[in-house]
Parts: sequence; structure tokens; C-alpha cells
Amino acid sequence: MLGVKLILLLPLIGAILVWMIRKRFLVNLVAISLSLFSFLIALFYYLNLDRTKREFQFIFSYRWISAWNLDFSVGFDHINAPFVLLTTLITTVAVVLSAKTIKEKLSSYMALLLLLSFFVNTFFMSTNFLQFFFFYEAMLIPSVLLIQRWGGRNAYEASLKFLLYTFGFSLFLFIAIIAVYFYGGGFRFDSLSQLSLTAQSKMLLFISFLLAFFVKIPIVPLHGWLREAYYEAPMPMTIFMSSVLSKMGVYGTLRIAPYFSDTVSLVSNWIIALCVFSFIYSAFVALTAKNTKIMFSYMSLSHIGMITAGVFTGNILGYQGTLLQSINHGLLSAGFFYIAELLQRQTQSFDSEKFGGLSKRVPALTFFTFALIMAMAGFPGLNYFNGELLLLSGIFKENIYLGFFSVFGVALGVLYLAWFFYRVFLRKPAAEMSYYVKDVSSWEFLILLLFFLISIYLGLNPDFVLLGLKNIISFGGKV
Amino acid sequence: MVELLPLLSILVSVVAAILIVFIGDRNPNLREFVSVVAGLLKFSFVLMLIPPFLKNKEIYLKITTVLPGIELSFRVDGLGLLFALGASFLWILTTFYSIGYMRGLNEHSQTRYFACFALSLSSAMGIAFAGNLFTMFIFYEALTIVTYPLVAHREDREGLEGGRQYVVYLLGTAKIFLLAAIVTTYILTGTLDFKDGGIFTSQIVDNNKLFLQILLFLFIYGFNKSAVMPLHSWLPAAMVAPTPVSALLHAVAVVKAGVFSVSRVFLNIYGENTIKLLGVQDLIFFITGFTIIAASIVALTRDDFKARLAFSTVANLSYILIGVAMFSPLGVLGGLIHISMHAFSKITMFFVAGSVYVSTHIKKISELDGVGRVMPITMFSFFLATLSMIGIPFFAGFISKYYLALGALQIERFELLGVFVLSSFLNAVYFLPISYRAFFKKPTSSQRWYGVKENYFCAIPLLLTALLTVLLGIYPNFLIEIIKRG
Repeated sequence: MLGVKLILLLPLIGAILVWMIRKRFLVNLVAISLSLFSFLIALFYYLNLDRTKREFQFIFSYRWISAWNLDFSVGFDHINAPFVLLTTLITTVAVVLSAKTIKEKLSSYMALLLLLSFFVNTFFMSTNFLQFFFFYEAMLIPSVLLIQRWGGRNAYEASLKFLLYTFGFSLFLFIAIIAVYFYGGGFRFDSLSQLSLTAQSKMLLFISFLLAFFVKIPIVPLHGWLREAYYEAPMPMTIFMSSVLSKMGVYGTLRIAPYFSDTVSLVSNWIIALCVFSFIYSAFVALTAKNTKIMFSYMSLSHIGMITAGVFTGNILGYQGTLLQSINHGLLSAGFFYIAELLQRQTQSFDSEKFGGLSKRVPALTFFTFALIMAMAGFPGLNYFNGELLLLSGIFKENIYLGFFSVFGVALGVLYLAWFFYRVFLRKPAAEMSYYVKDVSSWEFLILLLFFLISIYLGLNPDFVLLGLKNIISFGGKV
Repeated sequence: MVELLPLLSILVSVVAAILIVFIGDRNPNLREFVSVVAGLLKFSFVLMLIPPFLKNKEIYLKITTVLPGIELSFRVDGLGLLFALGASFLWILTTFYSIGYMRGLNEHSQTRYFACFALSLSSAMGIAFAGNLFTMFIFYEALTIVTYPLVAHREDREGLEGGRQYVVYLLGTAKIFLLAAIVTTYILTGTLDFKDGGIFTSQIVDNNKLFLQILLFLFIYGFNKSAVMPLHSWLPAAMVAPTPVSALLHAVAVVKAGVFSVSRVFLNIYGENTIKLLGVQDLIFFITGFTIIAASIVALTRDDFKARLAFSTVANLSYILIGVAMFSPLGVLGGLIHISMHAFSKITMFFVAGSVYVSTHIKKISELDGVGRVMPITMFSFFLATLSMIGIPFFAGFISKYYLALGALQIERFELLGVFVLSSFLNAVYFLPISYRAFFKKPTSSQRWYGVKENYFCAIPLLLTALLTVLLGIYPNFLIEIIKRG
């Protein structure tokens, strides 16, 4: 299949071209057009996906290592397709934003960003574990470089921390994958269903998978890298990290959880409790943050906790909720960081205390911020509500007390967003920075409008993401 | 075609809001004209629903299925029609009144005011015609959000503080209690549709008795617009809003949306049998009865005109809930009809409070001595509304209290009768002195009311609503018929 290859290859070709051209205008043109094409092709295949089949479709494969019976192969199925679509979309947004905001060494920056997109897409579309692992690690190289070279003042430490955390914990993933190769007889994902292991060893295997994924997501005790990395990274990179990179871990759990359903049922309460704790703890931190970028980082961290919890509920509601909400979260958190960037662009400040009374000065920005807050607060009829409903249903079904805790977390989520909106847009008198903020310009207006429209569309038609999933996934041991 | 009417009645004021924003301050007369036309259109759409409804035609419109068992859909029944009729009719009068009030006081941000007003009416219609809990939740939340700018209209410290309490209470309860309630209902039944007699089967009830008892109170306090004590304090706080807002929203649309939603839960989610099986009726009667008496006593102590009205509203909302929770035909009828009857009386009173404020800039009851001499229409209307609130025969309030009392007798709960009698007495005690002051007490100084005139934009609508309370008291059959059909 040539087309599927193009989704991956266009950013790669773009990366090479951009690196060679080095002329600002052409760099922007090539990067934007190629990432946009990649998105459109992904959308085309997404719409043509046969949602009744369980196996990978549109497979492109190439013999890689014959001794291990291993192919380099990419394909679409019902779980990874939404993630690929999200990645290509967010790549486009990040590229567009970078074209506007990155001032120096644009061509190498763009090359790295497109390379990152290529790695991440290949990761999502992998059909075997070794390739999955390879790109899970490879994506660190461009992202660390991007944070370090174009980041803020403490970017060096931030990127180092990010690298050490994720790289260190990936060791567990590596061990797990080797174990799968030996005891499951191959690198294919469904080797997991043929594991010849005792329940105890299976538990160990499961935990080592989770350790790796939970650092990447991250879930609270393992989130040490997040604050610096998100804060110091250039804004397009922050957007990419919170929308897409955090979903790599979630995608990993989605991939393996159905194979471990008997193991999950033993520990589900503990893992859900951990995720819900992460959800509530980060919400409290977000509540105290005055810095918009840090607040949105913790918002992203907080919500991803509940999203991850859905996988471990062991029922289809929670599982669907995780998939749907990952996509919703990707869209909305990108929107929020975009808004933080718009506020910061003229003022060079993320301090929400220095704004105020913006609602009259910048009506369009106010409207979009408000709309995104409504969506994120779970306003029914917008995208986030559906995922929230599914996730909460899943958690309530598994454990009613944890369900109530999650509802409490949801309410906290409304609180800090409302407070942020009040401080920046409504409070009077306006502080000095408000006078420098400009309203959204034409093409950025289109991006925010796109987020808003997608939010409404997915709010009324979540089947766009979920279609057919219910009939394919089962949790009765074997998938 | 008939199926589209509920949707049209929602959309017409959305379109109006867009037009209002578009026209803006450049042409205030055209802007207000749009409001009036939208109000008339909305009311006529609702009226057009009545003939097919009386012919027992099923009016149902499905927009989309969001998730299995969760649809965006509209359905028309007696309860919803009653609420929609009242709200859409009173919007027309309130628009005229608003014009008088806002221009009389030279208020700022009038465009935002009229636009949000139109949107809040859309949300109210959405709640009235919602076909299931999900649709209702959408419009319920929307109503909170679009009314926030109206409550915080003054934009000063006090206004923002009132707005903050309003939003924190309503959104907070909706998120914590209502969301949990909706999710658990969905898990238990797999649907959120409204059904006559409830959606919980006897098997579900047997297995989850304690849980369903808790769930019911999550619903009651989740739909916190019904202002059942102890979570009522947003309502008095929201009285910082301009008076027409307090009038329409806090006597008609917002609070009534709350009790309307709770009534829906009682009637169409739980149903008579479930509630009786659960044995929660006593507890409902206790908290609502307590709310009635306590709020009436607090109202006695308030000297601020609007605060007294606000606590009276808190009390009257619980009347409706008691009536519905009786589950006897007459009690339910009394409760539901109180939605309309109280709306007309209370909106008159709020209009009066606003009209007095526009003309005299006085908010305190104790300073109103002799104001009836210069504002005869206003204060006479207030007197009529007072009689209706107390429940004097041939006034609207009598009809609902009569049926409520009959309902209490029907199920042989005499303590409820006592609550009604005591509260009617308290009504007289805190409302009649206002009329007495206005007409019979001498002004504190002879110059006191010099130059005070009635604003006819304000006075005519409130006279109309006052006369309507009399009319409804004499000819209530039409409304009773609609409820009986539902």
C-alpha cells in the first residue's frame, strides 16, 4: 500500500527537504504543506477503515530481520487509527505555530519536528513489539534536542530529566518485550495471548509494561520530569508533548490491557486508585498554579490520570472512554496551550495575575477560551462530556467509591479553569499586561475555530472514534 | 412539521441573540424590536403545539444518538408545555419591562444583556421539551452559563461576588451530584429516557435499595436550581442582578427549571412505585416542609425588597416539590400548576420592586412609606399579587394551594396541611405590611416623593401580570386541562 507509507514518509521527506533548503519561506511552505497532506491522507484511510475487522488493515511490510522472523510493518486498526489521525493533525498545528513563533535556526527545528512526527506515527502504526519499542525510544532523540536547543532558560536540565526518566524506565519495557518474545513465541502483539507463564510471572510482566508506560504518560509518582519539560519546551513542542507524546503510553496500555484481563481483574482497584489519585492530586496543584503554562501542564497531567484509569476498569465502557477521551484530551490540551501562547506572545508573560479584564478587549480570544473551557469542563454536548460519561460509568461499575472520587476530581477541574477564566478575562481592574494582548489573527482564528468545530462534532458523534470498537474488544481472557 | 416546533422555539431566540449582538448599540430600537419579535414568535410556536397535543398526538424529534441509550431528542408533554407556555409568554412582557428598566436607569452593556436574555430563554425551552436526561442536562448547564453575565451584570465587587456564588453553587452541584447521578442511572438502566412510571425496574430497585435512596437526593441537590435548603443561598445572592433578570429568571425560568427537572426525575425517572418502595417520601416531605417554613421565617427578617422576595421564592419552590412528591392525582396537579401560578404572582412582585427602584432608587421596604400615592398602578398590582401569594379565592395562588391541600388530604398527611396553612399565614405577615406602608403610612417628610413618577414601560407589564393572576384565578381550567392530559 503506497498511501499508508505516505503518511509516514511525507514528514520524513519533509524533514530532509527542510534541512537542506534553509530558506525561511520555503521551509515553512514545505513543512506546512507536507504535514497537511499527511493529515489528509491519514483522514482518507481513517474513513475507509473497515470497522468490523479486528486485524490490521492497509498493511505495508518489509522484511527486516529474517533471523527473528521480523518485518518492518505498519498498518491501521481500530485502536491506533484515531491516534494516527490525532498525531498528523497536531503535527500540522505545531508546524503552523512554529512557523510563526520560532525565530532562530528554523530549518533544523522544522526538520527535527517533522522527524519526531515520523517517529511517533511509525510507533503508533507498528504491528509488532520490537518496532514499537524501537520508535518508542527513537522519538526521544528529536524531542530532547528540540527542548534543549529551542527551550527556555533551564531547558538543558529539563531535557536531561525527561531523557533520564523515560529512558531509564523504558528498560522495563525492553525486558517485557524480550519476555514476550521468549514465552509468547514472537514479537507480534497477539503473541501476548499465547504466553506460557504462571499467573505470578504474568503479573510481573504486566507491571513492567506499566512502569514504562506510566512514566511516559505520566501518572503521579512518576511525573517528576513533567513540570520542567513542559514548561521549558518551546510552545509547539509543549503542545506536541501534551497532546501526542502522553498518548503513547496510553496507547501502550490500550494495546496490552485486553490480553491481561485476568491479571487486570486482580489489581484493577489498586491501579484505578493510583490513577484517580493522580487525577485529584494534579488538579490540586493546578489549582494553586498562577502560571498559565504550568497550570495547563498540570491540567493535562490531571486529566490523563482519569483517562488511564479507564483501561483498567475491565469493562468496555471504561475502555471506550479511554480511547475517546485520549483523542478529546489531545485536541483540547493543544487548544489550551495555544491560548497560553497567544496570551504570552506580546506580553512575554505566563503570569495570570498580570492579566485581567480581557473580555472586552479581545472578544474572539475570549470566546474561544470560554468554549474550550466549557468543553474541558465536560459541558454536555461537547466532546469531553461523552468520554467523561464513559470513563465515569466504567469506574463506577468497577468500584463505586472510586467513582465518587473521580466525580470530585471532575469538579475540581471545573474550578481551576473557571478561576483562570475569571482572573484573566473578567477580573477588574485589568493589570498592565492586558493592554498588550492582541486578538486572534485571521489564520489562527481558523485553527481555534477548527478545534471548536471538532469539539462539537465529536460531542454529537463520538462514534467517529468509537465505531465498532464495542464488537471487537472483549475482556474474557483471550481477545 | 409539528415535530420541528420545539426545535424552532429553541432556535428562534438563538437567532435573535445573534442578531442582537450583530446590531449592537448602533440601533437600540431595532435591537429591542428583534427581542420583541423573537418573543412573539416563540410564544406562537409554543401555542401552535397545543392543538396537536390536545389531540393526543405524539410529538417527538430525535436529532442524533450520541452513545447507545443516550440521544439528543425532544418530546412534548403536558408538564413541559406548561413550563414553556409560562416562560415564553412572560418573556414578552419582561422584554417590554426590561426596555423601561434598562433605559430608565441608563444601564451599561445593554446588548449583552438582551442577547443573554434571549439565550437563557432558549435554554429554558430546551429544558421544557427535553426528551431525556442527557438533553435536559445540556440545557440545564447552558442555562447556568448564559445567565451568569446577567447575574454579574453590574460588574462591581458585589455583582461579581453574587455571580461567583451563583456559578459555584449551580455548576458545582451539577458537577458533583448531578453528574454522578446521571452516570449511575446510566449504568443501572442503560438508558436516560424519560418514561411514565419511571425507568427503574422492580428488580433494579430490589437490588440497589439504599443506593437508589441516595441517588434520589443526589438528583434533588444536583438540580440545585430548585434551591432546597440547605443549598439555597445562591438564590438570595443572585439578587444583585438587575430586577428584570431576577424577575424572569429567578421567579420563572431558572428556579422553575430546577423544580421542573426534579419533578421530571420524580415522575419520569423514578416513578410513583419506586419512590414508595424506597420509602423516601417522608424525608422529601421533611426537607421541603422545613424549607418552606424556614425560608418564610427568614423572609420576615429581610428589609431589602428583593431579598424578601427571594426567600419567598425559596419557600414556594418547595411547595411544588411537595405536591409532586405526594403522587396523588390532586397533589401532583396542585404542585405542577403552582409552577405557573407562582410565576405570575412572583414576576409581578419583582416587577414592582424594580419599578419602585427605577422611580425612587430605594431598595429598602422600611423606606417605602406612602409610595402608593405617587405610584398607584405599581402598588395596586403588588397588592393583587400579594393576595394571590396568600391564596385568597379568585386569585391564581388559591387554585394551586387548594389542590395541594386536597392532595394532602387525599393521602391523609395532615402535617402537610399544617405546613400550607402556616406558610400562607406567614405569607400574609411578610407581604401585607408592604402594601400597608405604601398606601396608609404617611411619608417621612412632605417632600419625600416630590417629582417621583411611574415609568409606564414598567407599570403596564406589571399591571398585566397582576390582572392575569386574577384571570387565572377565575379561569384556571385551561391549564388544568393541559396538566391532566400529560
